[in-house]
Amino acid sequence: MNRSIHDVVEVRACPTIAVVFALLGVLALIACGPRGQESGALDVTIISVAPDPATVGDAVLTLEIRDVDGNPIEGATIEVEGTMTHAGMQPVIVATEALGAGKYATRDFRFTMGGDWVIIVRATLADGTTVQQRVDLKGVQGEMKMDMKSKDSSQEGK
Amino acid sequence: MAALRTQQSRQRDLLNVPVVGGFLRWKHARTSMQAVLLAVSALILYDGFWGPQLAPKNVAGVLPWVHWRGLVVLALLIAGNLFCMACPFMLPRRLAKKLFPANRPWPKVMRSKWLAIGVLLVFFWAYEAFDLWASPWLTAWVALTYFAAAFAIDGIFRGAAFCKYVCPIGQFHFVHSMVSPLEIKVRQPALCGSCTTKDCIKGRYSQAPKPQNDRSFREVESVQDSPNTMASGLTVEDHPHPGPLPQGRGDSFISERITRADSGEILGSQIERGHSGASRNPVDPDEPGKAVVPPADDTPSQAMRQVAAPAGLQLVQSGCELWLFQESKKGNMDCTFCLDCIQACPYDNVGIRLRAPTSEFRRLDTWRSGVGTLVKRTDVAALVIVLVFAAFVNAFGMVAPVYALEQWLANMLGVRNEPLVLGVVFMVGLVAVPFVLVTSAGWASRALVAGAEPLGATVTRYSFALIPIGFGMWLAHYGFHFFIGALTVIPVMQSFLVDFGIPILGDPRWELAAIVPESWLAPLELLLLELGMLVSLTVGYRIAKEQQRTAARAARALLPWAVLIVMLFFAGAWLMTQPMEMRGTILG
Ligand code: SF4
Ligand code: SF4
Ligand SMILES: [Cu+2]
Repeated sequence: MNRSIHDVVEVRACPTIAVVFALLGVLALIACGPRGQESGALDVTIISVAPDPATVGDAVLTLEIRDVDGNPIEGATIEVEGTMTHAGMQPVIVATEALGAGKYATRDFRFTMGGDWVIIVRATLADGTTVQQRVDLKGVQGEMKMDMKSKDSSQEGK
Repeated sequence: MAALRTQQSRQRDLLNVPVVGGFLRWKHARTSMQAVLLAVSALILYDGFWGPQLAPKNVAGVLPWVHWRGLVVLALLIAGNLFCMACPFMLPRRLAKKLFPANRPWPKVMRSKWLAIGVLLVFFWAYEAFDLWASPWLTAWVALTYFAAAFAIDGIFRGAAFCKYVCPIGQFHFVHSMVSPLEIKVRQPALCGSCTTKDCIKGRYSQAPKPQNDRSFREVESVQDSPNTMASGLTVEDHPHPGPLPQGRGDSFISERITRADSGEILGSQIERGHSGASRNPVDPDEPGKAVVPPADDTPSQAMRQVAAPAGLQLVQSGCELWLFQESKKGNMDCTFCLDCIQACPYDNVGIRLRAPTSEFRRLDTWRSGVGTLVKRTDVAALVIVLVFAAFVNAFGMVAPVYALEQWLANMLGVRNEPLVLGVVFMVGLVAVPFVLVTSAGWASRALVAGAEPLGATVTRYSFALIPIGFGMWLAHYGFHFFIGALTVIPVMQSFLVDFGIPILGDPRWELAAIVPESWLAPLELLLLELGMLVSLTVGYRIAKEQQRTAARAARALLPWAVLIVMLFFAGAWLMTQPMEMRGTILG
């Protein structure tokens, strides 16, 4: 119960210290510059989505991948991640099959929810360097329910 | 026997739980929790402004919308208003209190929830209109605005004006913590009766010289409440406070008791410093010379604020800045769980008590300090109604039919402007439809028992019964996002560190997401919604029973409200079966 003036100073200094540290933290991060920027070394086009229009359920995306000079990328390992503009959903990450001439088709891809999708293409090039590029795929027709039941039923239906 | 009961009642107190209790009693407990959340906020601000602008890959896309929303509703369900307790906005705000005078009274016309209701409506609309969930950049702006607003408002106005009258997050928590199992509450009411210092509201002072910009409270704040309370049989009487005065606290204190004239029931008491024999009535700061007798529905704590700054002493520990006076505090409305009262009480007489989650809705027509009489607070009822319906409208915003509705509305109105169309959707869903539904229910309820109470009063009274079903919907919705996305924070943090060249957590494992098997979600959501409905019906019946003489009359009075509650339940269940769809713009 006995509080001295030192306690007072301590109590009052506490938030100040915390705020100062938080500001320093943000400044330090800003000094490091932006993060996670697109490398932009790839030119990715989704040439087809089956079924068309894209609908919740199994799907095959066919992509055409070129380098910045427009040359088709060959002999690369391409991983495709499908995610959404909404956080908190499990992304769909699949491998691809090379079709030649810079074209690749996804294996076992599925749209798990209707809405705006984002396709992230991660390429490990023949020389071992990795690059990634993002393409938007809007308006996938919805079917998934908030209770997730339809996911199972759509599987059963097929 | 009595000792045993005291013993037992003390046991059901979070402060008596080992470790947790010890931590919460620590005087820097709140600051340390706030510091942690401030650091997290700093991360969110940085990533929101300078990180990748794809929500699932950004701290500002994941933490606020998946984790924070889920965790706060779960905390409300199992404990109480833990977010306000650890609120990061409070740290810069405390700095503002040091830097600026912060001594202006919050404008009288704004001492209600109306402004906060407006802010909430704007927020819910903006969330959909500008797809805040999809934009880490906008999310960071919202967070920054929050910090700035709390800093500015509480730097200008005294007390916790921002929390009480502005903060939409706070209002969400105040309303839903009404069904929480914990309440900050006096342990032994009798002890308060013999307490002369009332530190829990007045704050604790030291002998140290007063700093230049001491912002001790000197004036009256009053919540907007029924203006005719003095005519309703309540009187204020003065009498000297019994008991010895504590040392070093200066002059004598006078306490006033507010009693109900008809029953003599003591509704609250207030204390005032009889400083050099000056007027004992609080003086209105804006109209000097005009003595204000606080209306009985006003809080005694507010009156005490006026006289709470003993000359020459320095505030060591704040009392309640939300103007909740423990002795007559009831329930969680307006309580930020800041623990100031616990720190301030010299007798360790304030606890974090376990209670029945429905207990707060008992006796809604008694006066509560800092809040007034809930059945007279039309503004609080409006806040409750908006939040209840927002639970459903917010979930509606993420299922497929909303896009069909938008499209139809856009065609009908001949506009392609999505924010405008959504503005119409929200005005209808959060204002017009609720208004029609609650007035109809209130009208029918009155008609069924031939009640004499004004319609507005009936609506206000029963609106509180809707809180649990609304909360059930918030829980189902935000719980859903949390349970299927809780682990997404791991890859985001991994990639954050990788981008800074410190891959101590390894490469991002983007496949991580759900924290429970997906098959659990549907039953869990339905269970939460059902629980909400059952608690709503129970509360509704209690409210009816307190007002009606017989069980049969109570049942009749409740009937229209029960219909509304069940309708809301089915609306929620329907929403859960709708295909989920997350889209940005669909028009134009
Ligand atoms: S009411 Fe106050 S403590 Fe609660 S979230 Fe708002 S600013 Fe923070
Ligand atoms: S001081 Fe007021 S707001 Fe803080 S915990 Fe106590 S009653 Fe609640
Ligand atoms: Cu949602």
